[in-house]
Amino acid sequence: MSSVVAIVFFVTCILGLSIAFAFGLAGLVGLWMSGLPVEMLASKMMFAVNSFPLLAIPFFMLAGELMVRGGIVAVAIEFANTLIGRVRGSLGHVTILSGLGLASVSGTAVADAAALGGALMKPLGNSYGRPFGAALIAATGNLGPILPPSTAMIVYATIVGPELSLPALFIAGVLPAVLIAGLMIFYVYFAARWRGFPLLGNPFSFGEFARVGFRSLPVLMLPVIVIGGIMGGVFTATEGGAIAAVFSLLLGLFYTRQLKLSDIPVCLLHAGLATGVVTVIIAFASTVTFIFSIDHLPLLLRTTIESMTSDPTMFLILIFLMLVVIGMFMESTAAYVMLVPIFAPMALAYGIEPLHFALVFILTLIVGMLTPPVGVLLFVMVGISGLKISQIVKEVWPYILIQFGVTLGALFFPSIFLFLPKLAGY
Amino acid sequence: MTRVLDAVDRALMVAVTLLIAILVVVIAADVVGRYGFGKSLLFANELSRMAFIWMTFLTMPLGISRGLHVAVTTVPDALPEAYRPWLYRIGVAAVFVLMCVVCWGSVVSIKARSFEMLNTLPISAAWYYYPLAAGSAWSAVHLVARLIAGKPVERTDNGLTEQAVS
Repeated sequence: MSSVVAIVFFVTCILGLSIAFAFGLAGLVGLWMSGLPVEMLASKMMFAVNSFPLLAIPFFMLAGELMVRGGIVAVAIEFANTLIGRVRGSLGHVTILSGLGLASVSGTAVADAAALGGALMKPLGNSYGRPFGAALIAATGNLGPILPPSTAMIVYATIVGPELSLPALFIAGVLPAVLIAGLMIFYVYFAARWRGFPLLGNPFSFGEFARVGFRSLPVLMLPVIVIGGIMGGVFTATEGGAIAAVFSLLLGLFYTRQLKLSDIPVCLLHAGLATGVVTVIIAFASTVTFIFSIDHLPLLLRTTIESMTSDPTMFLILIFLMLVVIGMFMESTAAYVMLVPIFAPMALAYGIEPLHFALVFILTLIVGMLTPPVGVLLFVMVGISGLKISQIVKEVWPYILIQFGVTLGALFFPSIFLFLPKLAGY
Repeated sequence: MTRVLDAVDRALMVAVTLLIAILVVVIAADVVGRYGFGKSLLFANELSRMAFIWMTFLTMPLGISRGLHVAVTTVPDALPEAYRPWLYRIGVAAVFVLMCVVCWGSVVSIKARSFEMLNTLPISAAWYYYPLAAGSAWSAVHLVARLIAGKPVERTDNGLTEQAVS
């Protein structure tokens, strides 16, 4: 029965049906085949989204919207510009650092890439060429769900349940995000030297840095308060999201003064629609995962994989390879909802720490948002830059290699990558 | 027909906007109340989950009418122009059946939960299912319109939404 459900899902997806509805139809077929009442679909959908942790998603989406419209992103870009000074590829470094800043409040790659693209695509395109700029922005957008807060991590932790701490997962995302950003800065620097990109910006001046830094202080405090509050246990991720939204609103209205009252409903609606697209997938996918569980698919897969290897590292490598392929073709939320309930318990049976498995799983699927043919970030940048997808793909490979490299680092060296959560007492 | 569809969609957009606003205000007020005044809002958890569920399922038909739902269209785009409307119509018809089942299931759940009161709000648990019934029913109406049109809607999340709330 599970195989029929999976076939219905993949065939309907390939034929162009929305992923949410492909899940819905597959679940419907599964219920019908198993002889269960098909009206169960409604209650499964409702229970899937009746979750307090999921509420964090619209809040961080809203915070991202308010940051863009309120000119907070522009403040972060100016600060990054002053910090970088006049070095090779400076505009690229500014993009990456601004992306890190945005990622520390927003939690989604698509929103971050769209925000950065709106502000930086034109100057990057004029200075370094549009394909280079578009690929860089797409790759930088990927920092959004890696650095906390992260929508992907919220979805993963909600599916797994209380055995995985969301704040611990958030902390585990810090090192990979900083490492990826650092390696991307190295790559941009050497690419700029090699290709002879022009020197841009003003030389670093401590006075200017202090002046802009002081002016940017309230903006820089935003992630400190929100992430610090979540990790310090002052408030939950959901409450932290609401605080981030309110803080961004106040900054936009009273500090940068670029946010108009008439912008607020638009930001609210955009956040609502963007969230709805994700949560409708979660709602419809719940029936498919239910069918898989009553059909004992997790047990079957576990037996199959256990017959292939009993080594936890080999198991992780198999999962990594599988997710690399899945990430090329599948939207990541769908992959979480469908695969986490199957593989997370299996990882536990292999003796893999839930936090380690979660980090490798999430990082691999996040990089999948950048890999062709179905890399959603590539599509976002096609829309913003007007380039063909093949032009961006040519420039995006180094970033994919960097991000997969860091993912493999997390796979093979858990003691290093889980050092921060351990240090925080998780 | 288009005018009616658009009018109801605008009402749904206003509802989604208000629901997000309720979510932010309730959760932020709860945090401020807890740390500022040592008191929590008892209903914060239940009300915010309720608003979230309403927002999710009211967004579902808007996703159809505004082309927001994520889909992989590589194969349909590669098909000859003449076949595309028919493939699209088959898909839409299948989703129409799905929405009818969801709507029916919601009505069944509404009937079953009508007498089960929530802990902190003076309403029944059936209120969790009303948005699912409304959202799936309105999605079905939009799907009929798409079935007639025979082609998908282009994604229009910016212009239309700004127009709707301004």
